[in-house]
Amino acid sequence: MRRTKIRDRSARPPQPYLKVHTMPSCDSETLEKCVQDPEYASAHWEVLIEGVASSDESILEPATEALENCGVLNSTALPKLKALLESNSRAGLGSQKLYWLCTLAGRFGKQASGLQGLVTEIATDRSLGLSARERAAWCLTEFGTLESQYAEALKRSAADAPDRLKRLMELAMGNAAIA
Amino acid sequence: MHHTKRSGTLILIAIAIGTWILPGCDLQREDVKKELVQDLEKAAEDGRLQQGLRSITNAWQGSPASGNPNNAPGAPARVPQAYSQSPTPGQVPGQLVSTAAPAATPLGVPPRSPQTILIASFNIQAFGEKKIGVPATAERIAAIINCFDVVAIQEVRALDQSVIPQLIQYINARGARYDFILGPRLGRTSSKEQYCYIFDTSRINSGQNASYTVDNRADLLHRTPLVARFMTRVPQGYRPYSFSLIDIHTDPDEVKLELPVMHTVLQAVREYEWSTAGEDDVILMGDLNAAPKIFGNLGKVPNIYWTIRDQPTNTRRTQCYDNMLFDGILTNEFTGRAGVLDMSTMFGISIDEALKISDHNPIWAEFTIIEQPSASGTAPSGSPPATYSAANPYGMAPNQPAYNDGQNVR
Repeated sequence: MRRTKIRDRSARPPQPYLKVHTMPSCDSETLEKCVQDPEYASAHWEVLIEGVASSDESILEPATEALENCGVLNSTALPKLKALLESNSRAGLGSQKLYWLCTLAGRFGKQASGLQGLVTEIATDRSLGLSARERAAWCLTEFGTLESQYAEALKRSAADAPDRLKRLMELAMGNAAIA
Repeated sequence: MHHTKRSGTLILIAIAIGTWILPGCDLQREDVKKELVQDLEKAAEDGRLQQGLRSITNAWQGSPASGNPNNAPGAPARVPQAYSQSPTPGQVPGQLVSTAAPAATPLGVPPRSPQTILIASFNIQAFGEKKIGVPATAERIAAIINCFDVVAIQEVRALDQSVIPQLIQYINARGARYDFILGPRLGRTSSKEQYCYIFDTSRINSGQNASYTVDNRADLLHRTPLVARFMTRVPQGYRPYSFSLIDIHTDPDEVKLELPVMHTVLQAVREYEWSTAGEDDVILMGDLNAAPKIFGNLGKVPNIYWTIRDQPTNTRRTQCYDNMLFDGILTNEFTGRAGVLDMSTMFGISIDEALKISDHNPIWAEFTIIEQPSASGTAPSGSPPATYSAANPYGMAPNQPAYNDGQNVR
């Protein structure tokens, strides 16, 4: 009689090709919890960032609402925010996600000022949607400090920027003087 | 009231969105007035209004006096001076409204009275298809609105423009006759919000054509305020209380930028309302995302009065976000009673349950149903100075409800 060999799966070494990045899904239960509990929303910000790009109103609206109210994220979120804002990954994000990533970054204030280079790139990138660029400029105003090379970039871009963007850029440039 | 006839006013005054902006506010004011007079005459003819007033007045006159439960110690005194000059419907001449207050309900909201109206502001967090689709939630929202004569609503978020009509069905389910004014969809992202006014047509007159969105060409506010004009329905011989409401919901992330221009919003609308309609009662209300201590210049507008001083207005009872502001001298129709309606107390539910309705509690204030004499014939103090138009950096003509960023944006 042939015996079945039982393999202990837990003892197997992790196999890279089987690794799947598990992002919590934008299911209605998670979204509902996020809307009602800002702390829960703060812990699930990545789900919400996915949600704001949805064309499905039942996902978009609660995701937006939850992001509006989730407040300042835990500082452990900063590296992930940075990774998402970096140009390699930024290309596919779209204006909606960038708008909210900049919002979350701005809420950190000075603590996230290390992102000012990346955020300046967004603010000055004419290929991006105006709302994302404006929110990036707002984000720079929240950092409270701006290195001179970024202030220069803003100054160049502000010259022909729409009114509101220009105004926000000028506010951010004020931070360069303070710094 | 005086009227300034100016052709093409609308082109100058507001961003025309949809059909709810008319091509001339002075014309629309005339139409509204005519309609109001007709309605009031009809109400007076059928006698129902007076009959109802008499029966409620008997109970009213026996009620004990009460002070203003809302005012914190040290708050400006709110003793209207003009009440004895002009009795409200059902009131004995010479009797002060404020000394004959109705018994307060357990919620602190006065019962509906023929002598007064209740104006409220309610941020119904992300009000859309989902909330209207849950009957228990929709019924609770309707029950809240049924407590008031006019409610300024923030955060209507729905592509489907039938959510407010559906809510109206809930509100009117027991025979009430509420109607609504819905603003345009506003916002910088793909998620948009709408302002809305819901009002009891048996007590208040207004309409889509009595509203406009404040000029926001300079894009200083994320969600441009919606202004609407209202007038109470009163028996023949009484002067209705007319007022204009400014519904506002600031962007919580940009409060530092938006709050400093709010006083110019208020002043510009006041100037416009006064110059085009002779209206001196302008009330700015909504979710300011700010407690009075950070109002800045808004709190320094001459004679400015705000109804919520130190009470939390969010459902968790931790923060003061919502408020109602007006000229404390001119708007002497304010009876001194105002407050926050705690939803969890109202329905006897937990805060978690109340959060399913909204993360904000409604705020309210009480006003007399008739116009008080001292408020007429006087230009709004604190209205923009003569140099206002010249100082306007956006090249707006005088009398437009546009606002500037002054010198207060950091």
